[in-house]
Amino acid sequence: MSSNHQPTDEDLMVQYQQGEVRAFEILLTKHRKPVYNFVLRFVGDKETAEDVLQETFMRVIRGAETYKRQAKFTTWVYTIARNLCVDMSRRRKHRKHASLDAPMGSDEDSGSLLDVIASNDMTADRQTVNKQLHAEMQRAIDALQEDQREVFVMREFMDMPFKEIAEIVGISENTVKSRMRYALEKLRLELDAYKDHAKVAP
Amino acid sequence: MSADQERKAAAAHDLLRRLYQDDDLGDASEESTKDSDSEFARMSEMRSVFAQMKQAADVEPPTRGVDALMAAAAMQASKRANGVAVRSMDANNANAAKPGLWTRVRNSLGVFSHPGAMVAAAALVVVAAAGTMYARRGSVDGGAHDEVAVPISISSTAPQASQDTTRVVSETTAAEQSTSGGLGTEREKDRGNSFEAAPDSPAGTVAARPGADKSPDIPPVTVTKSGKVPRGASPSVNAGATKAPPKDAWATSGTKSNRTVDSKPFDDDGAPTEAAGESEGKAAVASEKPAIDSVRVETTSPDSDGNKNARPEAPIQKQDVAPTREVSKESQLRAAVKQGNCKRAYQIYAEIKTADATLAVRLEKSGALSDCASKQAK
Repeated sequence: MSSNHQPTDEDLMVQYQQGEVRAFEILLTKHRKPVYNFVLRFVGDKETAEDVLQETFMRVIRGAETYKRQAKFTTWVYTIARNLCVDMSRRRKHRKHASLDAPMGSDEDSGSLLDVIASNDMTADRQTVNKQLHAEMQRAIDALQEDQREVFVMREFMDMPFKEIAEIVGISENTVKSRMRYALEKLRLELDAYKDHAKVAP
Repeated sequence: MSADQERKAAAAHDLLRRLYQDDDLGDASEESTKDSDSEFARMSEMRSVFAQMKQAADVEPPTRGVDALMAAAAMQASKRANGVAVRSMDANNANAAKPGLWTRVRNSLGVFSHPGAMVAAAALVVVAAAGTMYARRGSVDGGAHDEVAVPISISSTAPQASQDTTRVVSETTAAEQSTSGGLGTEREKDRGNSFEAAPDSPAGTVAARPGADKSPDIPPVTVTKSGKVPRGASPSVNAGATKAPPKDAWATSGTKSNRTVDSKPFDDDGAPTEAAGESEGKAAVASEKPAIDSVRVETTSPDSDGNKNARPEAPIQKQDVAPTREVSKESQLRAAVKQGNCKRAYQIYAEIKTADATLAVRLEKSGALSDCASKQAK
């Protein structure tokens, strides 16, 4: 075995099971950001997303003893996170989606999601166009049915294969693809409408 | 689903495959690929927007909860490590000890070092032994010979003055009854018992009616070993008299009468039967292999008030009538003769002669050895 062999997530989890806290630290560093963004896209609220992220990893810690190496670590973590998100959205019957204009953090100066989306090196005109487009798309994504949105977010933003999504959500792969297809069709219609609107607008 | 819908679904499926490159498009038809080309282009454009959004929207989570998570992780890990250490220590100890069979048996018996446990175990053993004996006796009484109607002779031994009556019910085989003319009867007569079968009783049928001791005209009752009473017989007595008698038959109060039931002492091979071997108490003590299983059943006669239906305090008491060694030998002798084992018969006869000359003479007279004598003569 080569010395530069990178331990997989599963290896790290097993090491943590054996009492190596360092292994958990590596896992946390590696997965905090993607899990947080997944949760944020799901719940649309930064504070709630933070709470869900914390609870997700607390459950990982508590459930480490029962973890089986055969299970993929990311599938396990995202299943926990997704279930927490579903519980959260059920509790809050009127789920608040991320308001594009609302500040994302508790600090007033932390900026809105639109600011974050458009914070790349582009010309001002291009940035403005992209801001509008992204805002429209974000609105369209938020308007998706919850089951379609979660599949869409996992596939498009988390780059998860359909098979893993099926495992996380607990449905068949074909159902996942079907939901994805409906989500894409709706978003395409929204995009076409936006394009038509942009052409008409001066 | 219409053909158009099916085509659309297939096209959408192909599109997904092309977009996300989950599968190769080997099986997709060229036509459908061409149809979805424009759709694919639009979707690809849309995906590029999503990619921009993703890149832009991925935000760094706040670091507030990290310390708390790490602390919790460390605590949990130490807990698990302790648990693992304890478990592994136990496992090591278990491996190190690995006691052998004898050690394990000895250890398991260690529980009896406690006095209470010892007493309980002793009690258990006694109860188990008693239960086994009881069960085996029951099986002998009601088991193999269930269908054999065993003749029982009854004699009343009650001194009339005291109103006490004693009945001795002897079981012998029907053959014995017929050949000897009722050995039990004679024997009981020798003992002073008046033992008379009812004149109309068939072989294997005895007149016996407990509780009717005072009455000389006792209706006949056939009693089998298993306690079954054949049709037409008064079911007033159960064989062996070991079971509780019916109230009307036994329920008399006042003076007591004794009832003895002798069971078949030997099996067909001439060996002592279990019943004989397990006859109770003194009977067993009186002879090495008691030939007669004797049960004395005490019933009560009407009390001074003439209350015949009063329930006796102890309707059945088994007492042992010690059969004489000679009686045992006599039965053995008859069994040996029946088997044709003349050598053994003569041996037993010699023993009887030594012990009781009178009985030997009587046996000789009764022709108990006639078969063997004729065989020898031949």
